[in-house]
Amino acid sequence: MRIAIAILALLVGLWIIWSGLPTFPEIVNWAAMQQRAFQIDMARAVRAIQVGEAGSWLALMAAAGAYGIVHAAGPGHGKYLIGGMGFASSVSAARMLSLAIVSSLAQAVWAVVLVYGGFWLFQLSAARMTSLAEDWLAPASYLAIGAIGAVLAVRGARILWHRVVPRPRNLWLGVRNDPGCCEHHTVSPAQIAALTTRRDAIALVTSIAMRPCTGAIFLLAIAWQLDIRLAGFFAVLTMGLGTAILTSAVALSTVTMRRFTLFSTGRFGVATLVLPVIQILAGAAILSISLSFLMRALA
Amino acid sequence: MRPLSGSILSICSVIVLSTAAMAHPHVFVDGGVDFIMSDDSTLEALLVTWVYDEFETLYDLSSRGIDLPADGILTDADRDTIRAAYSVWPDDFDGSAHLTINGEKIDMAWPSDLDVDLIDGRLQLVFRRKLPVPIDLVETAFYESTYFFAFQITNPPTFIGSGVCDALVIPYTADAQSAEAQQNLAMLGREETPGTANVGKLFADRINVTCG
Repeated sequence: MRIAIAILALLVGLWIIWSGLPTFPEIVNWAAMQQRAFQIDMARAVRAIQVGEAGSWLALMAAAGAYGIVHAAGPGHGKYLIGGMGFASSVSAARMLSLAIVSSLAQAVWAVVLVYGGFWLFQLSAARMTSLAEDWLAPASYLAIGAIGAVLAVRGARILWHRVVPRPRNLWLGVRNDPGCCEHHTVSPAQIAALTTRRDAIALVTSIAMRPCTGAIFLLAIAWQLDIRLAGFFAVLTMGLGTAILTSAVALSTVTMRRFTLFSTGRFGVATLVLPVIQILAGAAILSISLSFLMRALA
Repeated sequence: MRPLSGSILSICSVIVLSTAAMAHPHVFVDGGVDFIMSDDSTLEALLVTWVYDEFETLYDLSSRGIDLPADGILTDADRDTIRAAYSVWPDDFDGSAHLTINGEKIDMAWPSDLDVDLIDGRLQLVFRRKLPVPIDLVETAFYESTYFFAFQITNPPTFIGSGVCDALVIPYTADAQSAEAQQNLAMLGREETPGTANVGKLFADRINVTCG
């Protein structure tokens, strides 16, 4: 019974990594319809700001935030990476949450830097900006996310290897009685918590944030042209908070599924083997999703 | 009295210009098609209308360096800028309407006589697709191929120059074939072209025309 629950939990966890991906066109299409509606709200709010209507800033922030939430429900924003990491590392829910929020906000700020900077310094056109994001930054982001997936899977495989392959024994004392032996051969939970190092966290945030969202680019292009640049900046930040709500939900639900899986298998004494297996599966999922996006983007 | 002749006009999305989110379609265009008749049975040209939504309008104008005017009226210079931009169509734009009679494709001239307007903050483009040789309006079908833009018939079709024809708009309804296509389209990035030829046809609103 418990093993069935564990397998179910594992499958649900993997499902969350894939959810919002084109594997579920219903979600993608629903999200697209909602985005369309909120884009129109944003446009109306922008016009209201233009003529100095009361409450128009609030209307723009509300529409941009809502757009961010539904936009993140579609593919993109590294949800599968956040979900995969939440599922496969032993990072706390709080830390996973902050990583999800920081990567969304970094993505928003990067969009502002790119678009306003591009207009101001290089007089780039909006169309050039969009193709820069789609032709270069999107593939680069897929590549970086895929690399993180690969690293995760390799780490999982190494941990599993150390656990199943017998360690060199101290024939005289036995492993248990020799505190000096094998400690550096065993892998501590801290090492499994791949994301605890600053380097790992920066890699995760950068891989997601480097590709600005096209919705943000469009809104910023409009704000620049209509000279409501501060409103555009705050709207895109709010949009980032909106996407953070959804990626946070993914992060929390995968952390929960991981706990559930580990807890269910705990009684069989195989829990120490389960986490590395999850890491390999999640890493492979992240890698394969990234590669399929990358191949399509480069085709 | 002419015998009743049935015509099916199906109009789909598409062009290749701009907009948000992955997965096709990227731009939603409202509009419709009117029929310019030289007499009760002869079709001379199609009058195609596109109406962008408010956001697409703002982006389209902004990306051409035009501020959306507070009074909602475009200046002549703005109109010229937009007309000039839309006089060059991308290579893979197929005219947003295909016309067939008895399954045979009828060639139409490239969009011409482009009119540009702002209607309640929405950019409206109206252009003609002239037929080199006027035809008897028998069986016709419009479709387009890549479904980058989703085109929806929101304006009831009219007949200009003749009063004997009737048109019935049949909105797109999902079926197994279009559901499968949608699944494939959901996988596509912005810059990709769908593998299925004429995929937009599957999502077409149709117009049934009867003359007699």
